[in-house]
Amino acid sequence: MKLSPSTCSSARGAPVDLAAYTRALFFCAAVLCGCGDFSDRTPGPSGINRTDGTVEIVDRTNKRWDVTHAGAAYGLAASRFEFGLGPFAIRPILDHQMYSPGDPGYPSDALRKRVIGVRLNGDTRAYRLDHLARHEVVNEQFGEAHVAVAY
Amino acid sequence: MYSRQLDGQTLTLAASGWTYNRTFVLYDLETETLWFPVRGRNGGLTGISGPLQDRVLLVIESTRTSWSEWQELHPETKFMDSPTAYPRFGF
Repeated sequence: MKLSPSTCSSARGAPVDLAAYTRALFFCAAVLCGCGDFSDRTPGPSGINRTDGTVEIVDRTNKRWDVTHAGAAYGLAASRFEFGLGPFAIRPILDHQMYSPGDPGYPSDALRKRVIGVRLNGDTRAYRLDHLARHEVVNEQFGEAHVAVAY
Repeated sequence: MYSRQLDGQTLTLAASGWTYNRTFVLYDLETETLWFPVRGRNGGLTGISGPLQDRVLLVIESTRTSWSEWQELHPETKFMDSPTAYPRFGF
């Protein structure tokens, strides 16, 4: 989930700055959803409310998130939360198709993409990183295990 | 990759729309707890605020690699390409 450079490579093998890509993704998502004013260009919270020891950050949909405990227990400063696009700006993948070997559309080894590979409960799956980068999370189930494949 | 089961409850994780130190902050739809990979918590996701604060979603081993390398090691692997459906209006 870290937005670090050189986590991925393009089809030609050149490193891709995923941090910049993801910040751009967040920005575009904000523009498309019409969330907030971008004239100030600052990605911080739309507002920080401090009342009677409670600290809230306000996102661009005006949803308030209480981060009092996040600061007190884990040292997370309210002012360092960025973007605040709102919980529906980047939708997780809840339904998707998995291709098995031999299925039409199953990629050959010539596919030049990075994946997250998982082996769990006898099942082996691969998820394209570039798709995960657009949705951040795939909520999955491997047998009895419910997991989140997170970019 | 993280388990999304806690005390018999299965959570649905999604992006909250926030980042912190260039890292995505997730939340769960069921309780709206914010989840973040706090250091020193064995790599799992820690609830940083909300009803499940201080709880930890355990990390599960996964591998980031090229498709060709993964497929060579695991020829039986299934593959997720484009998502076929995701909610268009909320969840």
